[in-house]
Amino acid sequence: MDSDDSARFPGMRLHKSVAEGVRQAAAFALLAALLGAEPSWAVDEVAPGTAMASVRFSSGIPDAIRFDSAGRQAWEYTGRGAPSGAYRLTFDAKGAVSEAIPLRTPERLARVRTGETTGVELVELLGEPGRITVTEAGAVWLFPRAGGKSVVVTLGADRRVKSLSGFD
Amino acid sequence: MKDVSARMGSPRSVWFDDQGRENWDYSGNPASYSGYRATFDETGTVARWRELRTDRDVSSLVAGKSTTRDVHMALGEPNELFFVRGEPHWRWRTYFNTRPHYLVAQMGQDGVLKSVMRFTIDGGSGHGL
Repeated sequence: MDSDDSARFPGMRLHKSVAEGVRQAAAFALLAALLGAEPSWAVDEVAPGTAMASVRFSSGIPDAIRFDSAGRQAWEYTGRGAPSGAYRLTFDAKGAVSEAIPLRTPERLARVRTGETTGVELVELLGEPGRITVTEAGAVWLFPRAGGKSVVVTLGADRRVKSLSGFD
Repeated sequence: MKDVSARMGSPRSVWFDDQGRENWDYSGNPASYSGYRATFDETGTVARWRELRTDRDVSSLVAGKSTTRDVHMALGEPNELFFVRGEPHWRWRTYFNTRPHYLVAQMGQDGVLKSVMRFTIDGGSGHGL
């Protein structure tokens, strides 16, 4: 397709923009991988009102994307994108950050109750687990924390928290 | 659940659907061309195992109607996420007609799907779906 085609078919201009965006994103990812470069990863410094595109630019791709019952989007940074701890950024209907919630804080960990807390509640409180393995004892969810520590939670057959360790 | 874990390893993401069922998504790394989803019942047994990003998944999405959440449900976590003119675009790698493609979902700023497109990875032509 040449520029004349774009003039005759205006929709093609947007299509070409998207194609260019796809290629630029791929090229950036390749360059970053080759150079070992990382974005600034300043998730804990994201202020309410920040646009979603700015978050993507400054903090990289989220480790998990979630939606609440009202369909509002939240991005979780729980790995290398959050060296100072795991964070969940919730967005309003206009795509701006409404809240930056630190996860895996002592207060949130204290709300995890043996024999009571379910997997749904665990994800809500602590976010995306870093790793899940299943043993004879049950499903073991590992939640990395800042400073190289991890909280290890085992879910029993009743899908409720059976044990919790690595707690301060 | 133990069998899935032993065979597939740790999932890329774990989430719970509206029925409270636990889902494990295996979307692989950014270079992965395939994705799978295990849905467990309340006993931790696989109730459903399916491949993600099939033609049926793509066809289930309706421009102007489907939401970002619908896209997430149908296609899983994106391998890449970028913005064009402020609009979020989610991208996955897939095979289409035996050739590697990018599958791109373009969302409006209101969170409603605007279009789904495929682009050949070698830089060839793209087309809307």
